[in-house]
Amino acid sequence: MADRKIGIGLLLVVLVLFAETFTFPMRPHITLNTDFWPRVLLILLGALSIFLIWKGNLDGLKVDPMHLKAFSVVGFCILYVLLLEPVGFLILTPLFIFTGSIALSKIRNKRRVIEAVVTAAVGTSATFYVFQHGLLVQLPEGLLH
Amino acid sequence: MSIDPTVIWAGLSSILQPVTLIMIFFGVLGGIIVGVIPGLSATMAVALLIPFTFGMEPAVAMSLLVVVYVGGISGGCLSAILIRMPGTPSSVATVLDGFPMTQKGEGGRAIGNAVVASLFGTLISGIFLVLMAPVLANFALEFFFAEYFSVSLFAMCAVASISGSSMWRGMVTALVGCLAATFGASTVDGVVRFNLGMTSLDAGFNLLPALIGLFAVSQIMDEASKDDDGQKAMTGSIGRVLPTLKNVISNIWNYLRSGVIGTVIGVLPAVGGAPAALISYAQARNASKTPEKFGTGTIEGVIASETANNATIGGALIIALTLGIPGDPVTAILIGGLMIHGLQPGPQLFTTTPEVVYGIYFSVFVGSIAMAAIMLVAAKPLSRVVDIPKRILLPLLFVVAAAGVYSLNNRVFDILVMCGFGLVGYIFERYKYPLPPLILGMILGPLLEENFRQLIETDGNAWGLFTRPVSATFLVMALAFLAYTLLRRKKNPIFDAPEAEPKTNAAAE
Repeated sequence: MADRKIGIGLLLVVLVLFAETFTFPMRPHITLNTDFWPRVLLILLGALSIFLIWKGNLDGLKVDPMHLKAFSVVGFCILYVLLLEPVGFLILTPLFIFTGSIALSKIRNKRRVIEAVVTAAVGTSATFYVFQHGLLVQLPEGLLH
Repeated sequence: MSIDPTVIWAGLSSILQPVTLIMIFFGVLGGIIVGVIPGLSATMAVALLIPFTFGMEPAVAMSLLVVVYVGGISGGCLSAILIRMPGTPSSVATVLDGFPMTQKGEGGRAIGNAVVASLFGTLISGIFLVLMAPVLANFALEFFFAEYFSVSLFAMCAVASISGSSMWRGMVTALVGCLAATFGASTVDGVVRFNLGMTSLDAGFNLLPALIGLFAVSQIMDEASKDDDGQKAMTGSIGRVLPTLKNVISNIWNYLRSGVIGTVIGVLPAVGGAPAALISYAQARNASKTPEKFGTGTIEGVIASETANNATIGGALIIALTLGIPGDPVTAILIGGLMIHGLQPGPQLFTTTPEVVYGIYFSVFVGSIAMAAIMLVAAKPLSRVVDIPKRILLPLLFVVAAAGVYSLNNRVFDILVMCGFGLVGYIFERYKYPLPPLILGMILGPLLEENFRQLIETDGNAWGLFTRPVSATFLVMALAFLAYTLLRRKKNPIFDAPEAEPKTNAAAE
């Protein structure tokens, strides 16, 4: 039923975006206005979504199961991104690497903690140095401002 | 299109600068390291590297990306031979004979021959690239709106229909890519569409966060969710690495045949290195005097696989540079790299910035020689790279990806977009929806819209699509591709299903 799930999700997106196309400003004296192409795509995608919902599973292939851990990983990453500007790269990144490294480790002992601390320190300083000084990118300073 | 020696010299001199050579060396080394680690692909390496090239001259930047591509494809053979796990999907056929050789204590011999095969494969396809690309670009200079629309449509149909396990799934992701490209200001009239009330979306989705999200973040999510803590360490000596001259000479036809097969398959959109290696492997077995030895650890099998998968590099670059059609995900990212540097892939690239084209040509040759030198000298230490645990690698990769995307516009919003695309990429991959058509849709979608709307504005109708011979030919080819795929899949539903191929731990390349 994986294809049906994708089909339902896509159809909802298609309906919302199709309604949005009616808000596009129109330009006079143009044969094909700016809403033409998105509507063509949305109609095609809508038709395919209905096809997916109807078929349920296109070819009987067993899909790979979703892992909750993968979503917690991306959630953790998004939290890091949202805190990046208020907290700052130099404070937040070592915490992110350390926590990530420990969370991904199957065994938790003193050696692993030391390894995570070293990874966090070296990883943060190397990335900061390369971007801030090598590529002249002003990374968020946050609390250190 | 005449050949101007000063332009060739400009391309060559941009590569032969000491700083560039050092960057090429480290680029190849980085590509090899990423290629060696199962689960990380050349696609990811090239995507992550793009932000580091912002301050570089386009010729140097593109050369660096190309050599990472060469290194990434080549590095995959090490883990395939040593731990029976292809570092990249391209090395899937290398496992068949490479690993049995390691079991027999001939791992070094297999690696040495695989490296020489990779070198030959890249050089053969590089020669094809130099000879064929200008001819094709000359031909493409005659293209008008109708031809560009039809070529782009053909590429979309070709990639969408043969990527993944079902043609319909490929179509869905291609359309999602096209739709994602309509967000933000229209390229034709500048009208802002689908900004969802966010001014940050007025310019639409930038290609780089989308690329890194789809190919790096989704992979980080996938790898992080697996239970294994690290890779299996390779133990024991691999023996002598450097192949003998006799070995090389006795396989010369194998190199040439596999090189040509790989180049031709590389030209076809979306087929990629893994099928090229498998087809070449089958051809080598047919041509061999001892076909029964294939699969038990014969050097011919390793050579056929590695020559062909590297030869797809030049083939993929031919259509990427001349028509702007990516042959595989890495060339899709290279096209993205060109666009980020303000260059438009296609025939105009050969007339407006020929030094970039020559820089890419030379980087293929210089990169492959550097790759061979590095891998032959450092095969033993490189083989230890497979031991780097994921708990160290994955958080670092995300931080580098985030910092790289942030450097694009100095805004956190782009990193959130990257995470969003990562999430979409992860869900699609789990449900067997291929990602290459999505990225192709993002690249070709604006071209399709722009050329179709321009055609209607100038001609008043769309008949030009069918009356102009080249355009009509590509439309017929697109239809033929779809019909052929539908018929073939009806006959054998699992013909292209990932399950039908040997299992790899690497993400789709």
